[in-house]
Amino acid sequence: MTKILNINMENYRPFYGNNKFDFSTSDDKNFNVVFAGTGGGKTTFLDAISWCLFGKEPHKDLLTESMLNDIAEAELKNENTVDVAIEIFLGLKQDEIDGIFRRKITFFKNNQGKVVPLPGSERFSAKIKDGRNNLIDAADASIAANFVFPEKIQHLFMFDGEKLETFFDTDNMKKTENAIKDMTHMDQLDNAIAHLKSVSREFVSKKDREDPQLTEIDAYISGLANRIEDKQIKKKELEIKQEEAKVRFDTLDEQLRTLNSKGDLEGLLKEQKKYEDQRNGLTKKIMELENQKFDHLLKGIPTIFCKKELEDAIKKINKKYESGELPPDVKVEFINKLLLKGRCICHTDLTEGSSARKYVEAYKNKAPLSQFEPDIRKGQSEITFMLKGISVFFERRKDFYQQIDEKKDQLFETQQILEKITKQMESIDDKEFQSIKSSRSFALSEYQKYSTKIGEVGNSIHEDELSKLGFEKERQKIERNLIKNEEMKKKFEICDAALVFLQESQKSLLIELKADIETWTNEIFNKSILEPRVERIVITEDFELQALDFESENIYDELSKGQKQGLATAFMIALRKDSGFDSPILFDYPLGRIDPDTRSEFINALKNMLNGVQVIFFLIGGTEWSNAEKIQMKDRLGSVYELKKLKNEKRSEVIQHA
Amino acid sequence: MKNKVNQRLLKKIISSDLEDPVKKFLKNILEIESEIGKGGQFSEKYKTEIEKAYLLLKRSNKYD
Repeated sequence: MTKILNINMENYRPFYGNNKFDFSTSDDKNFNVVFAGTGGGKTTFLDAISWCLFGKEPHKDLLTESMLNDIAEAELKNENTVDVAIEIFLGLKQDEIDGIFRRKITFFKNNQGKVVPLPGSERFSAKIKDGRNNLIDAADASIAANFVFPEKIQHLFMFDGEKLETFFDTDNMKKTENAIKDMTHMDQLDNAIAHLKSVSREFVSKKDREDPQLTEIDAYISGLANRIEDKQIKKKELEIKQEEAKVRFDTLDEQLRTLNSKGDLEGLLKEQKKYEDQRNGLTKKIMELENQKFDHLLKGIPTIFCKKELEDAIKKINKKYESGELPPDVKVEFINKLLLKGRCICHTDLTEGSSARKYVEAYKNKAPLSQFEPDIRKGQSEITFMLKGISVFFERRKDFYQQIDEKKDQLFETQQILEKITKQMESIDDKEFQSIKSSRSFALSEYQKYSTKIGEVGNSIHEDELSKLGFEKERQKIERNLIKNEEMKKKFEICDAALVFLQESQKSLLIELKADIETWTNEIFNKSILEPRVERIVITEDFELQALDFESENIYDELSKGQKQGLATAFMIALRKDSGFDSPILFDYPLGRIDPDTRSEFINALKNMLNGVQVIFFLIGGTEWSNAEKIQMKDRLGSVYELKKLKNEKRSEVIQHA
Repeated sequence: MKNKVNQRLLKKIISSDLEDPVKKFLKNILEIESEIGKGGQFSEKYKTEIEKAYLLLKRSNKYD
């Protein structure tokens, strides 16, 4: 377990001279508080930690240009230098230091009399305990810092109350899945799989690798990989353009609002904004659903089989088999039909020149029926599995289409309302207003245009990924058949067994982790009784976190900001519990969004959730840190610091409270 | 310096039906993956581990 013993700040922004903060490492008194009023340096304190560990100040935009404290800067004489430094001491007891991180930068006065950083003076060093319990210099301070506080999962130990409440609002599924993966080091598993695949190829001798089948498939795979990469770049560019259009729209929207002075315009604008938000939300949801409908295919269901065609094929094979006649080219026949129809079950386009068609054709040529016949005869388990998978797929897809239809209906209604509002607004005669409004509409149409394009490119990437996956599977199969050298073969088999195991584990681990984190989140969230309407929290198969009421309706969107923050906090803590990640938690603005009525429950919940975990709360004096909170946290308080902005002085005073 | 290896995965490996040398191989490659800042050196390390697993299996007469 790692705890922060103390933090030293020297001349960093509002902290003039040396300032030392001692934090409690006791399991009973595990809550530490740093509170400040506006401009006192609460956010700067967190930036100081981030700068020390990762060399980055997340709130730099809000801070003054120079990192050097103004008073220290004013006192700096020519030819002298002054340091800005942050030190973080880690350990379990004050006299037992386990690690020290120190970052410093030196400032000097240049020829123009301006105080600037000395080029190349920024130094980051770390001391860590070696096997003999001696503190030694770490060979690479950044690696040491990332070991204790991994930057990648910074948001999972540096909680930002402002952002927590919206954590699940956007990209819910991606964020949930990524948080689980990151926290449990699933990237190690991903890397092991990729590395195993790469190494195992070396056991196929060079000569064998020149097999025309492999060369052709490799060409397809690399072609698809390039295409996916190009499309991803294109998607990124579109996303940037979309964001720019949104910024333009927001700016014009703001202008329109300040400009508007005519009575009913304000009301109409508000209505328009509301329905535009609704329309954007619906469009986004439709795109998400369109994307998701293919996801089930990615999870192992063969992509080229049509249910009806496959059933026909099985019937024919059975008939021929029962009559003792050798099965003819039923499979080829089936694939021909598929090509003739031009579409397969996932509605993948099989037109001339399409990558999917090339794949199906390649499959037809290289997989004669005779190769599959024994398998089919052996109880047709593979086919049964495929059929089951396809049935599930059809069911799920039906659901998706239903949901998409519903959303499209809602979108249609919303658009009609918007048209009505627009007409009403057009009837208002105000030149400047109309001019900004028209620019605003243009920005909006641009935004929508890019949204649609992003959706299209996203779908297309999905389809390419499917095809690539198919080719890769085929490649593995061919490779297995190619190895001729016995020793090479055995080694390949070791890789293959490990690979199959890891791939299966990858799937099952995520399911297990998801279930466990779901249970923990429920336990923690329910303890705080933040929302009695929520019966349980679920993480769906697609990793969407939902708050279900007693009728199993997802009411996440109806939760208040405070409740959403509570839910995200519960989720983060559940992740920590499950992963064994034990760094201290730095919790900024934890109570600001919590309703005063439920605040005491939330603090109690935090006490339960964070039993024994060292927490440093960064609170706003008064609103978040009043007598009520002091009394409630009293039994768990380790240390309390106040950052007090001094009047007429460019610094904050650090006051330690008893 | 190493990150923690996913404990669940380790348990899965231990309780799997895989042969002991393959289990050991898997554990070792996960150890390799948990090393921070050593990306790009995997190929040789993996091959060494495969070699070890192969020899262990050979010694256990698995290939006779």
